[in-house]
Amino acid sequence: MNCVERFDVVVIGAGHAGCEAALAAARMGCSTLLLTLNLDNIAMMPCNPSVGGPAKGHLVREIDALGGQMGLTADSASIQMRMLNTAKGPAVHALRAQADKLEYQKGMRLALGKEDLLQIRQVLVEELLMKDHVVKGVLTENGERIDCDVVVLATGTYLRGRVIIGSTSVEGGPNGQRAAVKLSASLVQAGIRLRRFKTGTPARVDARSIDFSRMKIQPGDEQMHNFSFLSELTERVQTPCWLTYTTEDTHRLIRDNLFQAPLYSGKIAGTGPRYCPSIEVKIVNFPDKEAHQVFIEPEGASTREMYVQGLSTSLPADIQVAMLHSIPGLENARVMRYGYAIEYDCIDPTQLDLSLGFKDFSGLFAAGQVNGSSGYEEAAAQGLMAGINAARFVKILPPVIVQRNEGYIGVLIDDLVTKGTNEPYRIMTSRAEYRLLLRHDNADLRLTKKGFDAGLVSLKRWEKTAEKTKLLEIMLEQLKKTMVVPSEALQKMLCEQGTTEIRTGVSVYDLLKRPNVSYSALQSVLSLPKMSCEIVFQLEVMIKYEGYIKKQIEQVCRVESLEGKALSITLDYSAIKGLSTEAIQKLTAIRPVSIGQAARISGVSPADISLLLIFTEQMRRGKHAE
Amino acid sequence: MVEAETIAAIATSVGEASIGVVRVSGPASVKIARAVFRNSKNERICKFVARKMNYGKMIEPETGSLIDEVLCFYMPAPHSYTGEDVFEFQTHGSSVVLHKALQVLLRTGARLAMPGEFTQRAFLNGRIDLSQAEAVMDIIRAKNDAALKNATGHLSGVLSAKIQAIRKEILDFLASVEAKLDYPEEDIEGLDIPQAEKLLLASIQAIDNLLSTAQVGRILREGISTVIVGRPNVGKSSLLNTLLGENRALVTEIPGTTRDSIEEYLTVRGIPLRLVDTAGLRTSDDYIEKLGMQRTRDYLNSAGLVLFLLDASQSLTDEDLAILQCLPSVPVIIIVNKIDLPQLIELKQWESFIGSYRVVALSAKDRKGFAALEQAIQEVVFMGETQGLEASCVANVRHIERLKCAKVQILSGVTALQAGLPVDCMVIDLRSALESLGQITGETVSDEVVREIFAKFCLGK
Repeated sequence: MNCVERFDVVVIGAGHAGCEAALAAARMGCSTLLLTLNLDNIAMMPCNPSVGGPAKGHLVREIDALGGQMGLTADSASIQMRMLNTAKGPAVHALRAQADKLEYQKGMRLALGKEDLLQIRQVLVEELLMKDHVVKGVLTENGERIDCDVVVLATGTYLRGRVIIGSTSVEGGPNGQRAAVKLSASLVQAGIRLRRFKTGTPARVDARSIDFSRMKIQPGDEQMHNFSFLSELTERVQTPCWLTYTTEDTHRLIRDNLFQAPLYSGKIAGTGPRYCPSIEVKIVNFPDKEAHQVFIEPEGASTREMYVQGLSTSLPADIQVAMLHSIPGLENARVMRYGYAIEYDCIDPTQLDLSLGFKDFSGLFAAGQVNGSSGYEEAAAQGLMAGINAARFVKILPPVIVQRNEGYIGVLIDDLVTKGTNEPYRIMTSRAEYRLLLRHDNADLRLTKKGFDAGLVSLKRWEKTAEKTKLLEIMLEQLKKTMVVPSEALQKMLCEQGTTEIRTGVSVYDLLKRPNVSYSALQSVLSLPKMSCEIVFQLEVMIKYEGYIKKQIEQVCRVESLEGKALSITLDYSAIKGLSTEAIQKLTAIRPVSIGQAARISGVSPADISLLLIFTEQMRRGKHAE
Repeated sequence: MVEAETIAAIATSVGEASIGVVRVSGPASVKIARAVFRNSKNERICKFVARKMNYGKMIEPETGSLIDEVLCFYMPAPHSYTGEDVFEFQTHGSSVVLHKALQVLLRTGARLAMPGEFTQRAFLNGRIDLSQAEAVMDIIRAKNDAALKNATGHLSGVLSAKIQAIRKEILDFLASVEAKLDYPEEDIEGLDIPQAEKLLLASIQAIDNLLSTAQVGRILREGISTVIVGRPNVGKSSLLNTLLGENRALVTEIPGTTRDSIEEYLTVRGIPLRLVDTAGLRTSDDYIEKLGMQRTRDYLNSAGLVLFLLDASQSLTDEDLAILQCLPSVPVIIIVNKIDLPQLIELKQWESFIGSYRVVALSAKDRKGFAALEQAIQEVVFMGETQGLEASCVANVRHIERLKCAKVQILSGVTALQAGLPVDCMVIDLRSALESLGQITGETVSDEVVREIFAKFCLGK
């Protein structure tokens, strides 16, 4: 007997995107069903056992600030934390964690299990059920039909996945799992455009077979760091990573065997990422580089597997072993898992709007690697937003959008849906035009309110942020008003810090503007209020970079007026006289929601924007006249 | 495009008219007028009376030196052309004066208006009614097309190459810096501050060099880009020499360049013409032969005026027809040369091709018929058929403005570096500088840096 179940939201895929989406929807009050083809692999990390880094770490902070889960789980599973770019000034600081993979999965499963409105089930989805472009439900391989208002596609790299090592190619998902074969066909039939991408992973090696004495140790930071603003962890046991290099032998081996590399033998069709090239690609594109870095990273406390970062490959198994043996420290390495390349179907993200919902289908959202992104953090960020907006859809509320000047989440989603991508997209700080505003330290100040208004952020988190915002305001004012007079102790300290003495009374604010002067240094000679490290850090950044922060804010304002000018998604661009042919084509394909978004589409020139401004004004007046 | 900025532009066509008008519109108009205008008693005016003509002079605020005697006219918002505060300065019609006037406005707080921007603002502020909307869009489109064509055509190969070189240096540098920020654990060399300073100061020096030549009026000169075409042996070089002989302006040889880019400047009835890339014309008549049809087409496409030469002593050939068909949609004057020889040419059979082009008959050798040519050129320019003049003048000013802007931004970056501010601040300034330079050559920054990073560095996961 087939009893049809009903849920508000069905999430397909329990990877990083799927978990965030399911949690967000459930926490916002929607009955949610999370479907996975393997319950044992929820929140699996099929590649690098790490979370964070420049831009990616920023995403994790933002996910946390909005009420998502990744930050908290990463903190609980972290076996090493490092703050990167510390020598380069606080605006580019980024946190990176090595994670115990199994602990991470455990943490996520626990979080999922706490939500009463969330059910999880192991079953493969075969078909998307839609009528007149409106989502009705899904059909599983068991023949069950599940009805719902919203479907979130978070299938990662499983759609018609193909795993390739050397000359063998096998249908499958990462790590020896099943692939989802029929769902692709269902999507294509519905009219969704798919493309084929590829990514790869290196081998895993038994730690007991590694000679660490020939490598350089990379320990974690002594200072305690956490991703989550709410983390209460105060100590952590850390495990180091190790650094070694490829040799000329390694390179020769690869060059001599390129004919066996699927990438060159024509077996792989999908487009791979530029920035995560397999070692084969590295050797070919940068032949003069004498040695490539190889990082050995632990995968967790309960396993001997060490991840060989930098050696992503799909060369045949025997070549992989020979390659490893040519690297200092890995001469006797025993392979526990072989590296492989995986090809998969993914969606052209320009079919989505900024809420991550499909423009042409009602109630269908997509998040994660299925949209052509790469990385756990990129996936989780999209999953969070798709989940929030799925819930908002169910409640018939407008979607929540993060702007480019509000967060890396905004940059990521806008880049994907407005510009599209020809290769797996990785977030980088250089993609953000307002990098100085989007810092690791102020994610909560930027986004927690938005999360609270959306209905996801808890009162506890919101109150903490509101308090912090108020305190910062008060302290800034106070520091501006607090004057100091020259004193011997002060002048001495200033000299020691490498800056000039003061002649007349200045405010603490002005003193702090100097790059070499820190709050703690001032505290040693003046009596200033005691504050937490976090607040002090914030204040110093806001004061020292005030000039440049202001420059960026001005840049934001300049484009703001364009962002505020809405465009109808049904606008007939070919009817606007004077628009260039390329602009008409691109605007029609992307259907931007504002003139600001239109300006970011390649092929749309400033002249075209001028014309759009005139046209929208014309429409506005025409309406008034009626 | 942003409403809060104050814009300035030359409102009249540049030529030998007796009056020229420059206009300023926006919130800073009054402040700017106060800075640059002095009344007949040589005083500053603090309060301008609306819609009253003031006679006085326009000066350079820094030195007090005279730019021109002007009439100054204030139209306060909202009852002005654009609906904002507008100032009009009526100057003499000389292009030099208009140039200087525009530049002083740009120095005192205005930005150069985008093509059609005054009209755009007028419409957006409700000063032009709905029924004119389409016309407004036409104006914007037409002006932008012309500006774009002139930006690329006017920009001589040399200047463009120099700006590209400066830009590339900065882009390369930025890519290294940003790559290190995004991939701190990769084997990328860290930022060497003294080296960075040296590089950036060198860029500033390169910009200064370009600006100094601009001031002297050598490289960045105005003039309608004029191309002479015709098949070999029709008399192009003798036409050129005759024209130059009588009307030659400053002959400038751009320093350090090859002969390929020698440009000839001449003024015809007050209209500056810039004969584009006439290398080879002077020594040989085989213009097309040397360059090939493709290059000829390229030159033609960036021309503001085309002089198409035919040989009167021969009948029209297929080659002539081929050239005729290459002619772009810009003003063309057909010149029938060698009227001193027995005439064989029969233009009547080509009437359908020639259409409405003006035809002038002359003899370059005997210097006969040049008055008619000059008349034709004057008509063509003042009928507004060529937008080359105003646009090229403005393009000139735009280049200077953008170069100066870029210089300021790079300097700010250097200061940030020297002050010990983190790399991020310098990057903001350098990206702005790239943006400014890119506006001259038509390139945008956005994805460039990312592309450059991956091109230069082998970056793993």
